[in-house]
Amino acid sequence: MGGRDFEFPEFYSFPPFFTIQPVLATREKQLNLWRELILRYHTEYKIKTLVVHDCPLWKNTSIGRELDTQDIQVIMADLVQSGHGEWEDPTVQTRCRILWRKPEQLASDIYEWAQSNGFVGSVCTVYELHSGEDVNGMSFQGADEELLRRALEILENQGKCTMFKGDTSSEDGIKFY
Amino acid sequence: MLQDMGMTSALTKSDHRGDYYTTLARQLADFLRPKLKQAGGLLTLTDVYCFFNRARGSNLISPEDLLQAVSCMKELNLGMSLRDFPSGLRVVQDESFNDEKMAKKLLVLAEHSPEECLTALDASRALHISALLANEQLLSAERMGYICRDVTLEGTRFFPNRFNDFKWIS
Repeated sequence: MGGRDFEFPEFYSFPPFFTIQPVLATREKQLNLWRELILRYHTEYKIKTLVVHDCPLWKNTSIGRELDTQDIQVIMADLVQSGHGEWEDPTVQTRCRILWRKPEQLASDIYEWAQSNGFVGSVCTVYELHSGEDVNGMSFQGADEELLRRALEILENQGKCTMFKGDTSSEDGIKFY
Repeated sequence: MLQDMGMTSALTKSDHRGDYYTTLARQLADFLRPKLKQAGGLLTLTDVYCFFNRARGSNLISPEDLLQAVSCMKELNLGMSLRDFPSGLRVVQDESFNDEKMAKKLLVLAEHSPEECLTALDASRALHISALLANEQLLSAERMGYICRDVTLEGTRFFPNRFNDFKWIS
Protein backbone atom coordinates (compact mmCIF):
# COMPACT_ATOMS: atom_id res chain seq x y z
CA MET A 1 0.00 0.00 0.00
CA GLY A 2 1.16 3.56 -0.69
CA GLY A 3 2.40 5.97 1.92
CA ARG A 4 -0.63 8.21 2.06
CA ASP A 5 -4.21 7.06 2.39
CA PHE A 6 -6.32 7.06 -0.73
CA GLU A 7 -8.89 9.80 -0.55
CA PHE A 8 -12.26 8.29 -1.37
CA PRO A 9 -14.61 10.51 -3.33
CA GLU A 10 -17.96 11.76 -2.05
CA PHE A 11 -19.96 9.31 -4.11
CA TYR A 12 -18.31 6.38 -2.34
CA SER A 13 -20.47 7.26 0.69
CA PHE A 14 -23.67 7.59 -1.32
CA PRO A 15 -25.67 4.41 -0.60
CA PRO A 16 -27.21 4.11 -4.11
CA PHE A 17 -23.66 3.83 -5.48
CA PHE A 18 -23.74 0.23 -4.23
CA THR A 19 -26.98 -0.70 -6.02
CA ILE A 20 -26.70 -1.20 -9.76
CA GLN A 21 -29.31 1.24 -11.03
CA PRO A 22 -32.12 -0.17 -13.14
CA VAL A 23 -32.64 3.04 -15.13
CA LEU A 24 -30.06 2.90 -17.92
CA ALA A 25 -29.22 6.59 -18.10
CA THR A 26 -28.50 6.62 -14.37
CA ARG A 27 -26.63 3.33 -14.57
CA GLU A 28 -24.31 4.71 -17.23
CA LYS A 29 -23.27 7.57 -14.96
CA GLN A 30 -22.86 5.17 -12.06
CA LEU A 31 -20.66 2.79 -14.03
CA ASN A 32 -18.52 5.70 -15.22
CA LEU A 33 -17.90 6.60 -11.60
CA TRP A 34 -17.04 3.02 -10.63
CA ARG A 35 -14.61 2.83 -13.53
CA GLU A 36 -12.92 6.04 -12.48
CA LEU A 37 -12.71 4.88 -8.88
CA ILE A 38 -11.12 1.58 -9.89
CA LEU A 39 -8.59 3.26 -12.17
CA ARG A 40 -7.54 5.91 -9.70
CA TYR A 41 -7.32 3.53 -6.76
CA HIS A 42 -5.19 1.03 -8.63
CA THR A 43 -2.97 3.71 -10.11
CA GLU A 44 -2.43 5.38 -6.73
CA TYR A 45 -1.35 2.17 -5.07
CA LYS A 46 0.42 0.99 -8.21
CA ILE A 47 -1.59 -2.23 -8.29
CA LYS A 48 -1.49 -3.64 -11.78
CA THR A 49 -3.99 -6.44 -11.34
CA LEU A 50 -7.43 -6.39 -9.80
CA VAL A 51 -8.21 -9.68 -8.11
CA VAL A 52 -11.99 -9.72 -8.05
CA HIS A 53 -12.57 -11.53 -4.75
CA ASP A 54 -9.86 -9.51 -2.97
CA CYS A 55 -10.71 -6.02 -4.11
CA PRO A 56 -11.48 -3.80 -1.09
CA LEU A 57 -13.53 -1.34 -3.14
CA TRP A 58 -16.67 -3.45 -3.31
CA LYS A 59 -17.54 -2.84 0.32
CA ASN A 60 -17.88 0.37 2.29
CA THR A 61 -18.30 -0.62 5.92
CA SER A 62 -18.71 2.97 7.07
CA ILE A 63 -22.10 3.15 5.35
CA GLY A 64 -22.87 -0.55 5.60
CA ARG A 65 -23.16 -1.15 1.87
CA GLU A 66 -21.56 -3.66 -0.43
CA LEU A 67 -21.91 -4.95 -3.95
CA ASP A 68 -23.05 -8.51 -4.53
CA THR A 69 -21.34 -10.88 -6.99
CA GLN A 70 -23.72 -10.00 -9.82
CA ASP A 71 -23.17 -6.28 -9.30
CA ILE A 72 -19.41 -6.79 -9.38
CA GLN A 73 -19.73 -8.71 -12.64
CA VAL A 74 -21.63 -5.82 -14.21
CA ILE A 75 -18.94 -3.37 -13.15
CA MET A 76 -16.09 -5.59 -14.34
CA ALA A 77 -17.79 -6.21 -17.67
CA ASP A 78 -18.12 -2.46 -18.14
CA LEU A 79 -14.46 -1.90 -17.20
CA VAL A 80 -13.27 -4.46 -19.73
CA GLN A 81 -15.63 -3.23 -22.41
CA SER A 82 -14.34 0.32 -21.95
CA GLY A 83 -10.84 -0.88 -22.77
CA HIS A 84 -9.46 -0.12 -19.31
CA GLY A 85 -9.37 -3.72 -18.14
CA GLU A 86 -8.14 -6.99 -19.56
CA TRP A 87 -8.77 -10.45 -18.10
CA GLU A 88 -5.63 -12.43 -17.40
CA ASP A 89 -7.93 -15.47 -17.19
CA PRO A 90 -10.88 -14.81 -19.52
CA THR A 91 -12.57 -18.15 -18.82
CA VAL A 92 -12.75 -17.83 -15.04
CA GLN A 93 -12.43 -14.03 -14.83
CA THR A 94 -10.80 -13.66 -11.44
CA ARG A 95 -7.78 -11.48 -12.33
CA CYS A 96 -8.02 -8.33 -14.38
CA ARG A 97 -5.10 -6.25 -15.62
CA ILE A 98 -5.83 -2.55 -15.08
CA LEU A 99 -5.07 -0.30 -18.03
CA TRP A 100 -5.03 3.26 -16.71
CA ARG A 101 -4.67 4.46 -20.24
CA LYS A 102 -6.04 2.47 -23.12
CA PRO A 103 -3.26 1.24 -25.41
CA GLU A 104 -5.07 2.82 -28.40
CA GLN A 105 -5.12 6.18 -26.61
CA LEU A 106 -1.43 5.95 -25.78
CA ALA A 107 -0.60 4.87 -29.33
CA SER A 108 -2.13 7.96 -30.87
CA ASP A 109 -0.65 10.21 -28.15
CA ILE A 110 2.82 8.78 -28.79
CA TYR A 111 2.60 9.19 -32.54
CA GLU A 112 1.29 12.73 -32.25
CA TRP A 113 4.16 13.57 -29.94
CA ALA A 114 6.63 11.94 -32.31
CA GLN A 115 5.30 14.06 -35.17
CA SER A 116 5.34 17.36 -33.30
CA ASN A 117 8.77 16.75 -31.79
CA GLY A 118 10.46 15.75 -35.03
CA PHE A 119 10.93 12.09 -34.23
CA VAL A 120 9.41 10.93 -37.47
CA GLY A 121 12.18 9.33 -39.46
CA SER A 122 14.35 9.01 -36.40
CA VAL A 123 14.73 6.74 -33.42
CA CYS A 124 14.12 6.81 -29.69
CA THR A 125 14.25 4.18 -26.97
CA VAL A 126 11.46 2.75 -24.88
CA TYR A 127 13.11 4.30 -21.85
CA GLU A 128 13.03 7.74 -23.41
CA LEU A 129 9.34 7.33 -24.08
CA HIS A 130 8.38 6.85 -20.46
CA SER A 131 11.16 8.73 -18.71
CA GLY A 132 12.91 10.98 -21.21
CA GLU A 133 13.20 14.74 -20.89
CA ASP A 134 11.05 15.42 -23.90
CA VAL A 135 7.98 13.61 -22.61
CA ASN A 136 7.15 15.90 -19.73
CA GLY A 137 3.39 16.14 -19.30
CA MET A 138 2.63 13.51 -21.93
CA SER A 139 0.06 10.84 -21.14
CA PHE A 140 2.65 8.11 -21.60
CA GLN A 141 5.17 9.64 -19.23
CA GLY A 142 5.84 7.15 -16.46
CA ALA A 143 3.77 4.50 -18.20
CA ASP A 144 4.29 0.85 -17.50
CA GLU A 145 6.66 -0.68 -20.07
CA GLU A 146 4.25 -3.49 -20.79
CA LEU A 147 1.51 -0.97 -21.58
CA LEU A 148 3.89 1.08 -23.74
CA ARG A 149 4.79 -1.99 -25.74
CA ARG A 150 1.13 -2.71 -26.40
CA ALA A 151 0.71 0.84 -27.64
CA LEU A 152 3.80 0.55 -29.84
CA GLU A 153 2.53 -2.76 -31.21
CA ILE A 154 -0.58 -0.93 -32.33
CA LEU A 155 1.54 1.70 -34.07
CA GLU A 156 3.60 -1.04 -35.69
CA ASN A 157 0.45 -2.64 -37.04
CA GLN A 158 -0.55 0.72 -38.43
CA GLY A 159 2.81 1.00 -40.13
CA LYS A 160 3.71 4.06 -38.10
CA CYS A 161 6.80 2.60 -36.47
CA THR A 162 9.07 -0.43 -36.17
CA MET A 163 10.63 -1.79 -33.02
CA PHE A 164 14.10 -3.24 -32.74
CA LYS A 165 16.00 -4.84 -29.92
CA GLY A 166 18.54 -3.03 -27.78
CA ASP A 167 20.95 -4.36 -25.18
CA THR A 168 18.33 -4.23 -22.48
CA SER A 169 14.56 -4.05 -22.88
CA SER A 170 14.60 -0.35 -21.94
CA GLU A 171 17.05 0.27 -24.73
CA ASP A 172 14.79 -1.28 -27.33
CA GLY A 173 14.35 1.22 -30.04
CA ILE A 174 11.47 2.61 -31.99
CA LYS A 175 11.74 4.17 -35.40
CA PHE A 176 8.81 6.34 -36.37
CA TYR A 177 7.54 6.80 -39.89
CA MET B 1 -59.56 -9.20 -10.95
CA LEU B 2 -62.30 -9.81 -8.43
CA GLN B 3 -64.19 -12.22 -10.68
CA ASP B 4 -63.86 -15.10 -8.28
CA MET B 5 -65.89 -13.16 -5.76
CA GLY B 6 -68.86 -13.97 -7.95
CA MET B 7 -69.72 -10.41 -8.84
CA THR B 8 -71.96 -10.17 -11.86
CA SER B 9 -74.03 -7.35 -13.11
CA ALA B 10 -77.68 -7.28 -12.17
CA LEU B 11 -78.64 -5.27 -15.23
CA THR B 12 -79.12 -6.66 -18.68
CA LYS B 13 -76.83 -4.90 -20.99
CA SER B 14 -76.85 -7.14 -24.03
CA ASP B 15 -79.28 -5.03 -26.02
CA HIS B 16 -77.88 -1.58 -25.47
CA ARG B 17 -74.26 -2.38 -24.80
CA GLY B 18 -72.76 0.85 -26.05
CA ASP B 19 -75.22 3.04 -24.20
CA TYR B 20 -74.83 1.07 -21.04
CA TYR B 21 -71.09 1.60 -20.83
CA THR B 22 -71.33 5.22 -21.87
CA THR B 23 -73.89 5.89 -19.16
CA LEU B 24 -71.89 3.96 -16.61
CA ALA B 25 -68.76 5.86 -17.59
CA ARG B 26 -70.48 9.17 -16.97
CA GLN B 27 -71.88 7.96 -13.66
CA LEU B 28 -68.46 6.80 -12.60
CA ALA B 29 -66.83 10.04 -13.61
CA ASP B 30 -69.28 12.14 -11.63
CA PHE B 31 -68.85 9.87 -8.64
CA LEU B 32 -65.07 9.83 -8.86
CA ARG B 33 -64.37 13.48 -9.45
CA PRO B 34 -64.24 14.53 -5.78
CA LYS B 35 -62.56 11.30 -4.72
CA LEU B 36 -59.84 11.68 -7.32
CA LYS B 37 -59.16 15.21 -6.20
CA GLN B 38 -58.90 14.07 -2.61
CA ALA B 39 -56.52 11.28 -3.57
CA GLY B 40 -54.21 13.57 -5.50
CA GLY B 41 -55.31 12.57 -8.98
CA LEU B 42 -54.87 8.79 -9.04
CA LEU B 43 -56.98 5.88 -7.85
CA THR B 44 -56.36 2.21 -8.47
CA LEU B 45 -59.04 0.35 -10.40
CA THR B 46 -59.53 -1.87 -7.38
CA ASP B 47 -60.22 1.12 -5.16
CA VAL B 48 -62.65 2.52 -7.72
CA TYR B 49 -64.45 -0.82 -7.85
CA CYS B 50 -64.83 -0.93 -4.08
CA PHE B 51 -65.84 2.70 -3.64
CA PHE B 52 -68.40 2.62 -6.41
CA ASN B 53 -70.05 -0.65 -5.49
CA ARG B 54 -70.11 0.19 -1.82
CA ALA B 55 -71.89 3.43 -2.66
CA ARG B 56 -74.34 1.67 -4.96
CA GLY B 57 -75.35 -0.92 -2.41
CA SER B 58 -77.28 -2.91 -5.00
CA ASN B 59 -77.07 -3.32 -8.79
CA LEU B 60 -73.39 -3.80 -8.33
CA ILE B 61 -71.14 -3.62 -11.35
CA SER B 62 -68.73 -6.37 -12.28
CA PRO B 63 -65.00 -5.87 -12.69
CA GLU B 64 -65.43 -6.34 -16.44
CA ASP B 65 -68.09 -3.65 -16.55
CA LEU B 66 -65.84 -1.30 -14.64
CA LEU B 67 -62.96 -1.90 -17.02
CA GLN B 68 -65.15 -1.36 -20.08
CA ALA B 69 -66.66 1.81 -18.68
CA VAL B 70 -63.33 3.26 -17.61
CA SER B 71 -61.83 2.38 -21.00
CA CYS B 72 -64.24 4.71 -22.80
CA MET B 73 -63.78 7.64 -20.45
CA LYS B 74 -61.02 9.20 -22.47
CA GLU B 75 -62.95 9.49 -25.72
CA LEU B 76 -65.98 10.77 -23.83
CA ASN B 77 -63.86 13.65 -22.52
CA LEU B 78 -64.85 13.08 -18.92
CA GLY B 79 -61.68 14.61 -17.50
CA MET B 80 -60.17 11.31 -16.45
CA SER B 81 -58.97 8.10 -18.05
CA LEU B 82 -57.58 4.62 -17.63
CA ARG B 83 -53.84 4.30 -17.28
CA ASP B 84 -51.64 1.21 -17.28
CA PHE B 85 -48.32 1.34 -15.49
CA PRO B 86 -45.38 -0.81 -16.62
CA SER B 87 -45.76 -2.89 -13.47
CA GLY B 88 -49.27 -3.87 -14.56
CA LEU B 89 -51.04 -1.64 -12.06
CA ARG B 90 -54.13 -0.01 -13.55
CA VAL B 91 -55.47 3.29 -12.34
CA VAL B 92 -57.99 5.96 -13.13
CA GLN B 93 -56.05 9.16 -13.62
CA ASP B 94 -57.31 12.72 -13.56
CA GLU B 95 -56.34 14.45 -16.81
CA SER B 96 -54.67 17.25 -14.87
CA PHE B 97 -52.33 14.82 -13.17
CA ASN B 98 -48.77 15.47 -14.17
CA ASP B 99 -46.08 12.84 -13.72
CA GLU B 100 -43.26 15.32 -13.80
CA LYS B 101 -44.89 17.48 -11.15
CA MET B 102 -45.31 14.44 -8.94
CA ALA B 103 -41.70 13.40 -9.56
CA LYS B 104 -40.43 16.83 -8.54
CA LYS B 105 -42.61 16.69 -5.45
CA LEU B 106 -41.08 13.36 -4.49
CA LEU B 107 -37.59 14.71 -5.10
CA VAL B 108 -38.23 17.61 -2.74
CA LEU B 109 -39.66 15.22 -0.15
CA ALA B 110 -36.54 13.09 -0.35
CA GLU B 111 -34.21 16.07 -0.14
CA HIS B 112 -35.94 17.34 3.00
CA SER B 113 -36.19 14.04 4.81
CA PRO B 114 -33.73 13.39 7.69
CA GLU B 115 -31.72 10.73 5.86
CA GLU B 116 -32.25 12.27 2.44
CA CYS B 117 -34.25 9.27 1.25
CA LEU B 118 -37.80 7.98 0.92
CA THR B 119 -39.45 4.61 1.18
CA ALA B 120 -42.81 3.91 -0.47
CA LEU B 121 -44.32 4.10 3.00
CA ASP B 122 -42.81 7.55 3.63
CA ALA B 123 -44.15 8.78 0.31
CA SER B 124 -47.61 7.35 0.93
CA ARG B 125 -47.83 9.08 4.31
CA ALA B 126 -46.65 12.39 2.94
CA LEU B 127 -48.95 12.35 -0.08
CA HIS B 128 -51.93 10.68 1.60
CA ILE B 129 -52.16 7.96 -1.00
CA SER B 130 -51.85 4.19 -0.78
CA ALA B 131 -48.36 2.67 -0.55
CA LEU B 132 -49.04 0.86 -3.80
CA LEU B 133 -49.68 4.09 -5.67
CA ALA B 134 -46.82 5.82 -3.89
CA ASN B 135 -44.48 3.08 -5.03
CA GLU B 136 -45.71 3.44 -8.59
CA GLN B 137 -45.01 7.17 -8.47
CA LEU B 138 -41.55 6.58 -7.06
CA LEU B 139 -40.80 4.19 -9.93
CA SER B 140 -42.06 6.78 -12.38
CA ALA B 141 -39.85 9.48 -10.85
CA GLU B 142 -36.92 7.06 -11.00
CA ARG B 143 -37.52 6.41 -14.71
CA MET B 144 -37.48 10.16 -15.28
CA GLY B 145 -34.10 10.39 -13.56
CA TYR B 146 -35.13 12.48 -10.56
CA ILE B 147 -34.36 9.83 -7.98
CA CYS B 148 -32.28 6.67 -7.70
CA ARG B 149 -32.53 3.59 -5.55
CA ASP B 150 -30.69 2.00 -2.66
CA VAL B 151 -31.57 -1.68 -2.21
CA THR B 152 -30.75 -3.46 1.03
CA LEU B 153 -32.21 -6.34 3.01
CA GLU B 154 -34.37 -3.78 4.80
CA GLY B 155 -36.01 -2.81 1.53
CA THR B 156 -35.75 -0.17 -1.17
CA ARG B 157 -35.10 3.49 -0.46
CA PHE B 158 -35.06 6.33 -2.97
CA PHE B 159 -32.47 9.10 -2.90
CA PRO B 160 -32.20 12.25 -5.00
CA ASN B 161 -30.33 11.29 -8.17
CA ARG B 162 -26.95 12.78 -7.39
CA PHE B 163 -25.26 10.68 -10.05
CA ASN B 164 -25.90 13.61 -12.35
CA ASP B 165 -23.76 15.91 -10.23
CA PHE B 166 -20.91 13.85 -8.85
CA LYS B 167 -17.53 14.92 -10.08
CA TRP B 168 -14.22 13.69 -8.81
CA ILE B 169 -12.41 16.38 -6.85
CA SER B 170 -8.75 15.48 -6.78
